[in-house]
Amino acid sequence: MTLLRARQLTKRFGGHAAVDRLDLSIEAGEIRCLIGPNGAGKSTALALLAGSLSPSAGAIYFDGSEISNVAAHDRAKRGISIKFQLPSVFPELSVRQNLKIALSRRYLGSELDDRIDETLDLVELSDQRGKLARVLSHGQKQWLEFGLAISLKPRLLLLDEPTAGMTPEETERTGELVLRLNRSGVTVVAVEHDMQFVRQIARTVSVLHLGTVFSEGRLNDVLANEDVKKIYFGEAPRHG
Amino acid sequence: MRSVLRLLEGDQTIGRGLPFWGLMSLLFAGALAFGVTAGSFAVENCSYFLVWVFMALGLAFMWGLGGTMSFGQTAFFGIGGYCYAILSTNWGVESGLTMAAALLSLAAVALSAAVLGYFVFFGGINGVLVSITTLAVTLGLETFLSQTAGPKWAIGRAELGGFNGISSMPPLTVPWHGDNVEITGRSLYFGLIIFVAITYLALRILANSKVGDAMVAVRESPLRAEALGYDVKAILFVGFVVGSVLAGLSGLLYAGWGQYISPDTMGLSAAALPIIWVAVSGKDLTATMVGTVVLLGLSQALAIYGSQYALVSLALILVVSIMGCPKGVFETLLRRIDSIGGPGDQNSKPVRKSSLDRSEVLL
Amino acid sequence: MTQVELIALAYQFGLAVAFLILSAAGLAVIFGMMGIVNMAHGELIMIGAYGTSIANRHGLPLVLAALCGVLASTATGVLLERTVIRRFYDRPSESLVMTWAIGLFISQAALIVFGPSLPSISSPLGSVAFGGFSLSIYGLLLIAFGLAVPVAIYLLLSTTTFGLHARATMQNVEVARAIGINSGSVYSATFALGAGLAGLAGALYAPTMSAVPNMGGSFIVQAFVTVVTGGGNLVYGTLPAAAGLGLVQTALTAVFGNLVGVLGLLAAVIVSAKLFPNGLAHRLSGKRFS
Repeated sequence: MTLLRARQLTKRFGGHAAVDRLDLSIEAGEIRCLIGPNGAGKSTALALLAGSLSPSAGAIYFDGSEISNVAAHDRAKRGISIKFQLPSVFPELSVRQNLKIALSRRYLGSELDDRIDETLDLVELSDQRGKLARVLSHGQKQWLEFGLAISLKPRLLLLDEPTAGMTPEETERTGELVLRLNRSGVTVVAVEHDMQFVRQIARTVSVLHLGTVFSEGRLNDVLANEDVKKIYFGEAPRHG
Repeated sequence: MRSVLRLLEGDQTIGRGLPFWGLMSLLFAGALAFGVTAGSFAVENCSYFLVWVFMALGLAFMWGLGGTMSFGQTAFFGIGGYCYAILSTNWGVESGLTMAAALLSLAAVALSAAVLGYFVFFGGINGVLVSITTLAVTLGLETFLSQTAGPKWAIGRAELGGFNGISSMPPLTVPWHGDNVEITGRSLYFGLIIFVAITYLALRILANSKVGDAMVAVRESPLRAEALGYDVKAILFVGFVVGSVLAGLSGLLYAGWGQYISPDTMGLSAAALPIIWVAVSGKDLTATMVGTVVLLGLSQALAIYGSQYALVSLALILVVSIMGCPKGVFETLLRRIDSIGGPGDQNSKPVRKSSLDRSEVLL
Repeated sequence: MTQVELIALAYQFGLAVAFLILSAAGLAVIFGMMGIVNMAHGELIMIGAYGTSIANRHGLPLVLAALCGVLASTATGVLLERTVIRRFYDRPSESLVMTWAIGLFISQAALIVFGPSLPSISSPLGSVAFGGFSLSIYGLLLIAFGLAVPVAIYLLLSTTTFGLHARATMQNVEVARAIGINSGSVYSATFALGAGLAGLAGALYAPTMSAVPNMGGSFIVQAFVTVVTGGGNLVYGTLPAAAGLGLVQTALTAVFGNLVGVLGLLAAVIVSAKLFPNGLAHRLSGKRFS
């Protein structure tokens, strides 16, 4: 079943098209990584899918219905969740309060408390529950944001460079977390630079270049492609 | 009912447990006892203090929780006061019509707050520009009302009166056995004490409810709040309207208390007062409620030498207190008291061991 | 409409626009470059006017007296920045409350020290008759200043080293620091510049209005309105915003009188906030504050 489909998706800033007639199709249960050189339009594409940007042209379908003009908060309610590139948590609230505010949208009373504890365990922040989010380390903030992003039980989780600024060990544990979430039924679309991480989590990757899909397939096949190598080193042939 | 009462305590309000509620009950009982024993002038003067508490609580709610710093509180205070003055002058005191005037004034405040809030928040104005826009509207309203002197500015029997404002409208009354009992003096004082208490408790519940969660989420990170499915603009709008209506309530109570309302209540220095109360006290509801009354008493004591001395001292207090005690004087005090009652519930749960397959339970 | 009436109307329009620009310039500079809303702006204007008025009364010619006014407000600005404002650079909401409290303090202190009003200074330069209509030469001077100030600021920012440093700091503080720009002194200088421009407005309008402690109030609505509409850039924001708002105000005042003119100004702001939520400058230049 196709969970998410983008058709001819375009976003122009002034005269420049950051995303240019992008076609993308994500199956339910998949983990898809979007890779590509800087400025390829990966983050913009993710923002369009999450609804924090609205498209200049084209359409997005989620679970069979068009969501191109659905507001970001309504997409969240329909089951699309995003983890931003810069950790986006509630800085002046405690770790526990961060999760409470996210989880109280679904749960009440003692069940809410249980879910908060479970999520704290899951993102390994139980010992930090009383700390203000702003004093957490970068990696801990990233994990807290994971906790926030999955609290709505999303069907589709969008990750914008989830391992940016993490140590190799943190990166690997993040990969395990993503795989675990995926096993429990969450479809994942991740923008990522770290090929080690991509190899760990993804079966299929899409290479973005100049705002559109340049190549798609298994990671090793795609990386072996001469044209893909060229765009990573700057002398890109136009997409044909 | 029980689940609603649970919300009296929570992350978004300071104060929990027996010591806190004991102290608050003591405060409430003391206020009632004061109303019985004190002289009638002192009681009436205290009513004057209490009148302003609603406006301060409204600002603490929208600013402390939602992060919206509005200079519009005095504008809605004025709208509430003027509406009550106009309606009650025209309708008189028969058969509880002053109550109808009061309710209709609140509706008018809610409507004007909704219109302004719509343009501000759904127009995409945010941050400090919200404060400036509300200030411009407040001063514009003052300018308008200041030049409404003369008979051509009259609504029915009520002349707007320019700088002088409107005076000698009836106080609030309740019909009682065919008679109309005026709510003034002691009865107004007791009414206000009870009303302040109800408003305070209701706001505490609202603050700890999902509404409060949503407002805090938006204040802390609009981006993340939106990604969690919160409608950011709608939440800012709701907080603004609730806070503004409370300012309107202060305004109509003020008009009923002194039977007088003028454009001065909306001027630059008037608009400063709620900001000073809330910023010096701390944006917590309890801190604001107590702090507002204390600061009003203080400025009254200083104003014996002229209002400029009161304002100059208040301004200085504000500067010093923000630099020395950024969370607010009374809020800092309250946190001290609160910590006597033991640690909050955030550490009360035993820390469980991490389990790898927790996600299967969770998702 | 006769030619004379047309010129009279153009003159009114020019005066309205100049007033909006001069009121807003100092506020716009500080907001645009530092993101701080200086609520003591009106009081800095008042200090400019008071300085001018007092110096003039002590026998200084008006030009020198005006200079004294500008110096007084600049000095106040420097003092405030050094003692208070710099602690609040990264907290826009608190800096708003803080500057507000300072403004209140200044105006009430002025009331205590100087009393409810200062003797007014007479408007210089006389007027020229034009048809049946007389134009005040001083009014024309105000219009000239209204146009010259944004141009001067633009030149300051685009040609001088200070301008270069200021623009770099504004766009990215960290990078600016990393290449050796002292962002602290850039902020201090910017705040002083904004305070000086506020003082200039006060000095220029001192001969045309009575000097009272809360005279800043007659400027700040216009100042805020212009900055809300235009954003923080003087050339791309303040100028066109002032022109548009001035047009609305002049037209409404001419037809319906003063009150509708002011109310029209507010309505125009709210509508333009809906149309250009990030300010005109954003729309016109494609970027914020640059």
